[in-house]
Amino acid sequence: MRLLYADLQFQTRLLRLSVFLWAAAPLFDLMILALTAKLGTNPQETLLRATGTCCLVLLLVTLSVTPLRRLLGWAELNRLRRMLGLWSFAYAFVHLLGFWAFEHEFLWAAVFQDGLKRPFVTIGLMSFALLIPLAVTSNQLSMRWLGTRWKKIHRIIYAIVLLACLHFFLHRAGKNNYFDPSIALAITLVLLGLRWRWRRA
Amino acid sequence: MTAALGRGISTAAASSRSPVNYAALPGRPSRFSITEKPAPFADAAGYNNFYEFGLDKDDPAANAPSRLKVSPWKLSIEGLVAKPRVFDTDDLIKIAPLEERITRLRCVEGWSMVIPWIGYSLSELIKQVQPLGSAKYIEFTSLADPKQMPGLNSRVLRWPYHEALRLDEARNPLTMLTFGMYGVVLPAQNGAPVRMVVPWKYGFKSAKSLVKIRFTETQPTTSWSLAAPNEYGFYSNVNPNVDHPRWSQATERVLGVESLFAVRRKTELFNGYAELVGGLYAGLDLKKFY
Repeated sequence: MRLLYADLQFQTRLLRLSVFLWAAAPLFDLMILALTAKLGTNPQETLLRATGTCCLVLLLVTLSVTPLRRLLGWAELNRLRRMLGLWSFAYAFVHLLGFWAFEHEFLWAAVFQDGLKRPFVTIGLMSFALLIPLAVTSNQLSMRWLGTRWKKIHRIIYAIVLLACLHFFLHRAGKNNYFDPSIALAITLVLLGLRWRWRRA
Repeated sequence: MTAALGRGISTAAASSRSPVNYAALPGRPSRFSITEKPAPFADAAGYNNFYEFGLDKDDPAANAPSRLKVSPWKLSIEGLVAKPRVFDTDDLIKIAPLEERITRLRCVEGWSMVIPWIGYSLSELIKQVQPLGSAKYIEFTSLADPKQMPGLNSRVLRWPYHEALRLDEARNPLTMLTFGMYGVVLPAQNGAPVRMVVPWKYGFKSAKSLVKIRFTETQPTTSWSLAAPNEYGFYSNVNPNVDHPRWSQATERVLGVESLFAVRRKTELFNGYAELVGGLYAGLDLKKFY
């Protein structure tokens, strides 16, 4: 029995490590490509798009932890949620830094002025702002301190992922090329729909 | 299997981005050239908007070289002209001596690339076909063959791609009928075998792979102004003071400089050609006629 428990603990650790490496891989890949000047003809655009996509994918993966846990009945999965959410925040942060550096020449004032002017930017900045309280309270101490309020605060992620999808749609507005954003939105709606159903049931 | 296939495609795309794989097409130096250093050939031949071959920037280089049949090719000149004619590329290219013009292509998306184009002033062709007095506009139509162009499935634009200029704009010596770049014939993804280069207007005004040029009395519609009339007007002159509804046009990212933190370039009115083309728009409200 003890041995079995140790096995399970090892499995969990291995899973956590694998997921960590999986989430970190694109960032390291981008860093290596940037250092070796292999990001293509428009390296700034490549970086911005890749970090944006990674952020959204990780948001969706974070949101799928709870439904997966329910479907698989594997409680240990929950321990991945915080890590995935924090990685999503990390990509959002790099995404914002890139926008600040490449589009606005390191001028925060210009970033915010742009945010007042273009809905695409407004939505992006809003999503990031909403991610901050979640990232800051993603630790044991905050969970204990906030108690039941913690859960309520972290429901903001539902709004964030919808805003992120909208940001993705607005990004593709020029070419009316909504295939990828539609997939993201469909996954989002399934993940949110499952929660809604389970809450009613 | 998948990996091998992937490598095969990327090798084909890579070879289409090297100038050694294209026939030489030299041109004499032009007085219209700017002094900036051109972007590497691989960037100009690898980062393209040519929706007929896909919406992503690397789609044309991957799809066009193996699909676009550039020979034989015919360009039909029709409409309000005394001498309508269908040209083969070989005849067309001999109309006037070829020049190499280094100009900056400014894309409406907010980037630019310095490219040495090979061709001659469109006015040389216009002289040959003798427009009638009633001709006021000139319309350019690109090839639209679903067998060659997988991107025609997309409903982003109305096909065939068509663009237009006022006849006086078309006669301006800066307006160039283009057959090559970097001393070689145009790669398929850059609009082979013949395209327009109108350097004081946003890049989409310079239609690629032309099959028809038509002279008209009334202002023709254009693909982009049909798709989004509030975003893309008939003129589409490069202008830092008239923003695109969704982004600023005040600055541009110069591509092909290989630096992540290169300073953005301040966009110039008429892309720096105000002296040569400003007169065309005397008295015209450029904010209204964008």
